[in-house]
Amino acid sequence: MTGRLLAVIALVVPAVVRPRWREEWSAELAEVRRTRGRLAAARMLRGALADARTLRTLGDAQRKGARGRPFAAFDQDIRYAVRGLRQAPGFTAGIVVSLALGLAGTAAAFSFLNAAFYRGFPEVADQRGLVRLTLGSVQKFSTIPVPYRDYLTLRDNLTTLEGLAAYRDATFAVLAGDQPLSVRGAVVSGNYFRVLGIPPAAGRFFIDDEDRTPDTHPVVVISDMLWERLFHRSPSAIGSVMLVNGAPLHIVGVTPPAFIGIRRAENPARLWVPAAMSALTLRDRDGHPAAIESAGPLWLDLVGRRLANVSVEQVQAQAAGLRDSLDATRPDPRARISAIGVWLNNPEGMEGEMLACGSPSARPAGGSCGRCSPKRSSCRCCRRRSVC
Amino acid sequence: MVDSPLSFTGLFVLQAVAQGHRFGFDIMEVTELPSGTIYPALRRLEAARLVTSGWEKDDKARKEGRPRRRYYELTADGRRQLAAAEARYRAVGRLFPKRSTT
Repeated sequence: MTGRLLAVIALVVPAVVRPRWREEWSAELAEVRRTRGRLAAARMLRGALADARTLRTLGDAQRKGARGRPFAAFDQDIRYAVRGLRQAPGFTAGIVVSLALGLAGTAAAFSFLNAAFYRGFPEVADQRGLVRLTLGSVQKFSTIPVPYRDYLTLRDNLTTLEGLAAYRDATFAVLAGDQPLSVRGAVVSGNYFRVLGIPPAAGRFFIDDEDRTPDTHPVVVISDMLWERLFHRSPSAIGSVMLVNGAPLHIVGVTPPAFIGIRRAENPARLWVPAAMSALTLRDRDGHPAAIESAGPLWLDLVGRRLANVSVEQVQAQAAGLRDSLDATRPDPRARISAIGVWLNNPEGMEGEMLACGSPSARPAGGSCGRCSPKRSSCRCCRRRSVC
Repeated sequence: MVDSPLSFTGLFVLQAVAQGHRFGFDIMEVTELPSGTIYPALRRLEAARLVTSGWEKDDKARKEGRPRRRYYELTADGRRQLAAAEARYRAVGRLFPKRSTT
């Protein structure tokens, strides 16, 4: 009888200690029965009930205490987990491999996103203040070439910008000493580096006079990589002469090591000449060297820096007001001027999604626009190009 | 470890365990306290780590034809608390004049 009652009372005891509790009380009751008789043993059950309640109370208090402390018994959890993992090596290996693959995949995906969308162009100051201007056709979602005069008109009249720079990709044949090289570069307006806010690593960048009159200032800025490769970082490189497309140009400065322009990283510019020296790369319809102002519409990239507290929309509105004064828009009443922020490392990639064909910034000199396949020679923007 | 003063019950139980009365019914016998007092006291003292418990060896219990007992013994903290409580209660005792029992 006492055994059955003890089993009922045991239900009050927390399950974790119940078997041990029952064993202890069985021994105690056996002792009482042996020395005092069955009645005394039955009376002892009141003590068993009090004992069970005490255990219950203590168990609740311990559980509450454990919940109240942060990471209470965390070490026990770790040990338990490690023991479990050691007992199932196959399962453990599966977990490790899954985690490794998951982490690697996630890291790769976020690295790509960071590189493609969030990392700014190296060395470019306050990239969010930059704005890219394009001239395009409303109906066809295509961009149109820009005469250099139009760039000058925009530069001189866009008062919402601190400055507006133009640049055009080109490939140069360079001869330094007896080493011929094909170097990716750009023809840039004199204020290009100033608009991007880049300090020279050595020497200086272009001054306004060097971009004012054609072919009077044969100067060039080289990249840090070129400085290293051709001159071993010698300070004497500044002021020395380098043959670029057959013309002797004076090296006036070196860009910082990380600077690659505001271009894709896989195709960085290594050499910059002022627009006044663009006859090095431009040819007219007859194949003669052409000054940039007389070369007709060109695939120019225009990038400006907004004044403080001026939004991209304000720049857009002012630029739209200048539409009628631009040569490029006169024959096409539906042409428009767009201003977009330079937010991304690779804005051309985004542009390609939106434009049907040929953003000016993506067009390499002397080739197709890059958006259309080589077989599609009927691409209108490529056909329309008069000078390449 | 318990820093609060031991109750009378706790003191009795600890003292009984210290004197070699190591299982519940034995402690109950020597202290003459009811089972509803002794066992809860033992649980609290164990939770406070003043006593620990262990099971009697099976062989001995089998020889005597009974279930094995759960034995309690004092921990170092238990001994320290018992000594402190003993000193405290002796000091309290000195405050009361001895009375003749005759």
